[in-house]
Amino acid sequence: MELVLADIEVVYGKRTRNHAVRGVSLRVRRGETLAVVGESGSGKTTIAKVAAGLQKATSGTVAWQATGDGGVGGGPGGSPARRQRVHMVFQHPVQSLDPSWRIRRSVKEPLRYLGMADDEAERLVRRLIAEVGLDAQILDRYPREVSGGQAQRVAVARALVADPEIVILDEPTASLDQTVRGRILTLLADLQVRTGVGYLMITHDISSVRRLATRIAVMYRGLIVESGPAAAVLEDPRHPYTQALISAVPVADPRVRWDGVVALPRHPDGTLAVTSCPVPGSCHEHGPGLHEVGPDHVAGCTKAVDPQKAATT
Amino acid sequence: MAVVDAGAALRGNLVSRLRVGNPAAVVAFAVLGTILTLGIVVPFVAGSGDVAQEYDGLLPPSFDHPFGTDRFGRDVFLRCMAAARIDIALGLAVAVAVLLVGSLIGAVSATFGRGVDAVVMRATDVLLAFPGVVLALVITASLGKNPWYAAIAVVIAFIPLLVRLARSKALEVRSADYIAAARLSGASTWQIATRHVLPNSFKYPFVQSTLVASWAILDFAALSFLGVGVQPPDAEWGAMIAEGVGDNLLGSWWPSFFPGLMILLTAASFQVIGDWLDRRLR
Repeated sequence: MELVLADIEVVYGKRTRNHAVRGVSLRVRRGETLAVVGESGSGKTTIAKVAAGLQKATSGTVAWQATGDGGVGGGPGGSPARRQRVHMVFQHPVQSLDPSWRIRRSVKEPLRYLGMADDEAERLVRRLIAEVGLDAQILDRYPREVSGGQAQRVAVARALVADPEIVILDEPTASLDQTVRGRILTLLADLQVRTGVGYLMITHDISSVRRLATRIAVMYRGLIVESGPAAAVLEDPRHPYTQALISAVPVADPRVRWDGVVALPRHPDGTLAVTSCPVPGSCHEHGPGLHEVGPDHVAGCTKAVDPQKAATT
Repeated sequence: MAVVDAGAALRGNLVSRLRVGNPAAVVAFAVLGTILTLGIVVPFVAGSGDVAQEYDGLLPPSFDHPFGTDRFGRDVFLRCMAAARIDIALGLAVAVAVLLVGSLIGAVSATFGRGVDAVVMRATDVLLAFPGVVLALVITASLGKNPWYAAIAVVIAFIPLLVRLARSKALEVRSADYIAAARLSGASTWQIATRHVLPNSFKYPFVQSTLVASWAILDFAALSFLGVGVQPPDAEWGAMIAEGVGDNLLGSWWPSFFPGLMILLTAASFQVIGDWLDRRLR
């Protein structure tokens, strides 16, 4: 199964009409990881909520398309009653677990609603807890009695216990220590190989994108400005914003900078604020649009077709 | 079930926390415990002594009759203790009923959102527009003179208060990540309201309910005082005050003073306990 978001627009406030997302289309398949990257306010968390069904889009559609790989509602191996379509791992692990519930109950919750018998559910919960590298003792604890890293492992176990098609990872490592962060990413990668789950990962952390992503979509001001295979986007970023984002990590090319990324003025028609763009072009006149810049690789910059010019300005 | 879970979580904390020592709370528990114990033991030992007219009327307090006797020759101490059982049980029962119903309605109202919430809030607005005693009086007057109706009336009068409190807390809880997670786990809105929102917003209504117990005793006594609650010859503090008021004017202060003292001690104890819980659980 494939989760398909088409032309999603989200507008907050009836009066203020604050466009959080302005026409975003993306798809996530089982077995792959789509990383949506961007700074705070780019609309990436809103996209996560819409994809999870926690929030309604102002316009656009969220749909599931069969891909013939045996997902919910048919195909070999997919027993519909036992499966969920989507679950989520949140940024703050401890807050994503009900403080008055023992961990066992939280992890078991998806199975209960699927109508699974308790002994079978218990077996599955124990298996998942072992798979995320925790001791079964933790099942009897309350969320306040475990560390952030442990809580995030619990959250991962809960997200995967009902064998979902897609798990949405909303900044899954942002609130964790550096050392724990790496281990959680390794765990997520392992589990994907084992279960074939698809990830929609929302993050601003380029290093976790490098670890996990198969595809990348870069969001800026509610628009996808570049998307493509992870390797292509990371090695050959075409949009100046993507280049700036990647250069923000220490290893990057110091020549490429986007000054004042945070303080960019808002452009009325929703295109990039070209006044601070290092590659001024005709973008502001007719909107950027997305141009094919490589196989399955698109970027929303009129100058993006010419990588040399974009990179060196 | 969820409520029981929260109760268990609270209990472990409370017992250890009382030991830490809060003199006022210890006194309050002692006063309440004493009144309740006497209320259970004394009528049991004295049989129907609280309604028996076997002494001279209006005897002042003495060794034989620590609270004196009323105009019908009934022992005021016995009557006060017989009434203690009724009044304290009523206070607790009202508090529990108001707590359960109020916090459930509050949690449901907050979780289901706009439509349901608007209806519930307007309904509580209407009920809150009347002072509690007046509302209870209207309800009892229309239902008939009966202590059960009076108790129900007091419950109805206090529910909106708890609904408001529970709802405001539930609104905070509703936006928590674990609610979103529960939704993704497949919980229905009702399941979210009862299993997640209610237990996690229960603490504040729980504290408030001890204050409700104290107010309920006052209101119930007021209803009986006005003649629509407990009926003579049964003993109830408010009803006893009403009976003794006339004697008070003639210099026999004890038939109305002691039940009044009982109300004061009991209500104040519940207030102090509520205050202590509030500070402890915050």
